[in-house]
Parts: sequence; structure tokens; C-alpha cells
Amino acid sequence: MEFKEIYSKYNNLIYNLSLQYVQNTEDAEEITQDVLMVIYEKLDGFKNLSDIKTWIYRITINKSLDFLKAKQRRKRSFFFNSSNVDDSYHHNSLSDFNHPGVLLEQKEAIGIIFKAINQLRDNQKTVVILLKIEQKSYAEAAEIMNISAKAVESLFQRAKNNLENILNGNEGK
Amino acid sequence: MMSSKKKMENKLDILQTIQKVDTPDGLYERFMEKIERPKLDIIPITWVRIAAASICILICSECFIIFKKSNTNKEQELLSIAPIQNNNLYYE
Repeated sequence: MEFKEIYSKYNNLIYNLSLQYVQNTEDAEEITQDVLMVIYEKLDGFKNLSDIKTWIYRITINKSLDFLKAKQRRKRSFFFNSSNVDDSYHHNSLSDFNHPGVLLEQKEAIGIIFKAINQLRDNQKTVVILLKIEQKSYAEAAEIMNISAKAVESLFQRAKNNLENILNGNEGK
Repeated sequence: MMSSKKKMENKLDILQTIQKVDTPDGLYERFMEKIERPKLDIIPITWVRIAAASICILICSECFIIFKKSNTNKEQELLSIAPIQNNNLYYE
């Protein structure tokens, strides 16, 4: 399969998946470029074309999580003397939330949920994104994450519990 | 009465309304431009840090040596001004 063919088929998948992690177009584009670079460089060595979609999912998830960690590190080093460093990635206020796929009338509600999702651990965040936004089945999510379906279920349960605690904690404020 | 599990599921269901968007125009062209641009010789930041640390150590050791030398010179000057009396003729 030629690179251009892969780009045509999967560019929206990569871009939209990145958007779920960073919730803004600028960062999503940067992640997409990074993912495309990996695909471009490693495509010749990739033999099993039937699994290419899973492979692309994995690269996108890893690059998105790496991007978030790098951004968090840059933020911490800039504010290292500050006692008010917030551990969440970004959009402490809903006005910072700028996901282009979210309808205006739902921006507030979805913004609150994403703010909570951003505080989850990487694997829990990924499970929520794959199951609830990408609408994958447990089996599909398990294949992408290279874990068992039972592990996906368990992670999702923990993610829901954590989200509930975060959202209830915010409601109390 | 709805369990909290179900409530959370319902809350998360709103995420399914997020629509897919198209990649920005020109993304492919920008990417291919990046590929075709000749790669700059970028020195890894680790090597830059090692070089900077080496220079600092060099400068510090130079300063230390100069400081040590100037102290030694001062001692020698003091010694030359006050020569040690070693004249047994005046020993009592």
C-alpha cells in the first residue's frame, strides 16, 4: 500500500483521534504530522497490512499521550517556582475548550466531561475515548490497546468511578 | 432508582454526539514539504549540555588555578620581605 493511499484512507481517523486527546485543532494537527512521519518511515517494514488500522490507532494514541506529557513537562518547568501549578493538561476554564466536533449547545456539558477525562491516567483516558467517543467494542479496544477484553472492562469501570469522583468533587465547589 | 453506574454511563453517552471533522486543508502538502526539506544538522540537546558543563568546569578550574597561583605569589612576597634570621653569631 502506498503512503498516499494510506493517507487518503486514514487521515481523518488520525486527526479525529488526536482531537479527542487534545481538544484543539492546532495540537491535533501537530500530532497528526508526527503520526504520519512514523507511518512514512516505518511503512516499508510493516508487513501485515490487514492490521494496519490497529497499528495506526496505536501510533496515534502513543503520539497523543507523548504530546500531552511533553506539554505538561514544559508547563511545569516554566512554572517550577510557582506553588499554583495545575496538574491538568489545559483548559482550566471552559473558554479554553475548543473541540471543533462539539456542537455549540453541548459545549459546556462536554467541556466539563473532557476536563474530568483529562485528569484520568493514560490507560483509563484511552479506554473512555475508544469506547465512548470512537464507539469501539470491548474486543476492538482490547486489540488496539493490546490487552484482554476483561482488562478493558476493568479499566473502564475504574475510569467511570474516577470520573464520578472528579465530577462530584467539581459540583461541590 | 438509577444506580450511580448507570448515571455515569448516561453522562458519558453525550460524548457519542461528538462529530468527526475533516483534516485541515493542505495538511498532506505541508507534510510532504516537511519530508522533502533537507534535514538540518540538529545537535542533540544532550551533547550541548555536556559541552556547556565541560566549558564551565574548565573555566572554574582555570579560576581556581589562577587564585591558587596568586596566593602562592603573595606568600613568596611576604617571605622575601621578612627573611628568616639564621645568624648563629647573635644567638644567646
